[in-house]
Amino acid sequence: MADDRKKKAEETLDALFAEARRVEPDADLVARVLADAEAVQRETARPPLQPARAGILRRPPAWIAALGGWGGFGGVTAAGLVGLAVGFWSPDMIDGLSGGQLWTLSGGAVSPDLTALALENGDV
Amino acid sequence: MHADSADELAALDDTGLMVLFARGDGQAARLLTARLLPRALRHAARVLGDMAEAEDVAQESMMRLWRAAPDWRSDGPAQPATWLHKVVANLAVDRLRKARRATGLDPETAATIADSAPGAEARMADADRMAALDAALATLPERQRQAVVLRHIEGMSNPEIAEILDIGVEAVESLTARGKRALKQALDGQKEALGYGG
Repeated sequence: MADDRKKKAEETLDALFAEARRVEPDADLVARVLADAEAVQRETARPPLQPARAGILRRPPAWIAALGGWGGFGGVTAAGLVGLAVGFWSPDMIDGLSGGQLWTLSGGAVSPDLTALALENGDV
Repeated sequence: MHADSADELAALDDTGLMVLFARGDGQAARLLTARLLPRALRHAARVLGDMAEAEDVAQESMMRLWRAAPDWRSDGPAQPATWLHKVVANLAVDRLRKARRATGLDPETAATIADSAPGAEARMADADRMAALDAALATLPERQRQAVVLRHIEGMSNPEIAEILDIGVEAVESLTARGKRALKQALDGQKEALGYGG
């Protein structure tokens, strides 16, 4: 009798547990939870990565990068152009700075004869 | 991780879906909701014995899950379901304690008074079966109630329950065994009233 009663209590409880497992959220709760999810995603989602701007301006070739990028390349180019301009329009100033060596070596020509330098070295 | 089709996404575990959720995937949010919200709601409903309160707790727990997603470690030990049940357990206990402070009664005393009140048995007979289960569950101490719900309704393993309740596995075994015995006692003689008579 006691065993029968115990068995019935066990069956009752199992039936209640089974019923409790069938509880599901209603559509309204699901909608609220999804709205929360969407709001959190809007707040916290990492911004998509910006596609790298393609082209030579964004990624200079290695030899330009070695000069410090486009900025360094610009500086070197400007210095070269200034030197060329000074040498072209004021050759006397350049010769003066070299103590007249370039003019002497060139024999009065526009460009110095570098072989003279080599010979001079051999003469010493 | 790229999951282009719904099937591929559905094949992912909850942790994988958390990672996708953190990247803004709306379908991951829907799948996680479908998998985890019913569990959170059932857990809260049976511990609190009040569906409106349970819905609040389930929604708040899911909100905390969403907020945890960006920091979720895909190789970490925490499982989203276990983590969520832990949050539900804590929020439910907070609510029970607040309610107890409000009434000035501990749950056992309140349950005893309710059961001994005139007409309580008749009310039980008229109540639906979930209310009967909730009334029986309300007679259990908080931890015992949580352990019974997680074991017998959510079907969780003892180690999982131990992690959720921050106790040892042996303690879980003891809680569920004593809890089930107490429930059977509380429901004893209710079979006909509950509609399971035969």
